[in-house]
Amino acid sequence: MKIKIFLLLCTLFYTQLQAQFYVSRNGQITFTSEAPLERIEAFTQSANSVLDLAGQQIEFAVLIKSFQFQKALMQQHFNENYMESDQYPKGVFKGSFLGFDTEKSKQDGVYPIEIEGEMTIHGVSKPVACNGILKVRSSEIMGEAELELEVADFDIKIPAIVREKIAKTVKIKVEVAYQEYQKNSK
Amino acid sequence: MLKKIGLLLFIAILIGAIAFLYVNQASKNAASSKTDVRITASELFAAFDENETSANEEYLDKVIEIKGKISEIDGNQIRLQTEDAFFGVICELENIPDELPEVGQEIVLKGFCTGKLMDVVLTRCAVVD
Repeated sequence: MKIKIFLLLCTLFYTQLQAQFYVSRNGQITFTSEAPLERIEAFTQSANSVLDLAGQQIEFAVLIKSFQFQKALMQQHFNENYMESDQYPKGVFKGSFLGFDTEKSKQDGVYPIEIEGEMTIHGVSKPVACNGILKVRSSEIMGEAELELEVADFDIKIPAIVREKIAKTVKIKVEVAYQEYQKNSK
Repeated sequence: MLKKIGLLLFIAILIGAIAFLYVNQASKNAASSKTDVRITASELFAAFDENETSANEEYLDKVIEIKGKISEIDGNQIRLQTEDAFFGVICELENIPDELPEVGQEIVLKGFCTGKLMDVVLTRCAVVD
């Protein structure tokens, strides 16, 4: 009897060790500012993200300087004047999600999820919640989410001169292709 | 009198055109920019790993010519090996070349340094012949 319990515990422990992490190093994030006088769009494809299925945690990290704009001056102003990216080089989100787990990750399908956590941009942290989707297709997980952020919430100052060119609310679109994290691969 | 007005108008238009072109210039591409730093992937990663703050100061926004061995190619990302077992330098290609390099190949790329997350990331990269 004791041996049985011991073996059972070993199995449970082992499956916990296998508890899955999914990682991405090429997450795509687009942000759009629609203002009366101008539409600004920037894009990065080097966002990092980690999905912890057992702990139901999700994390994102982006390098602010990796956002690419069509116009050089926009990129310069974005980094130097608004985001001050020399001082605050990263945007980070740490949170949890509901609606997905290890079981679901083994079945192909589309799973709506609710995400909640803390967004840190320009040195300021704010609670953020949004909906998203996780799509499972043969052991690959694709994540998608859209949310809106108030520029002022993160202490980002827009001078009066350009107020008609930069929106107060910015739309963010996230698309991530996750791969299961294998300990012995790079 | 008319000649003077004509000349002033011409100069005004010229200044306007230059200003317009300046304001609307397209984002820089590393291939056509002057190299700031020549370094290996291992060295660059080590600099960020040891002291991210000073590495940021030294390398952010600089045009880096980086040499390394390709560990992985994923879409337009070429990943270079470093001394670290898990992480390296990611070079995001601006354009995917007709002939893709091969994993294991030694390569030199040129791009803008944007910092380090898990890996050090260079954007707007081009292969240096």
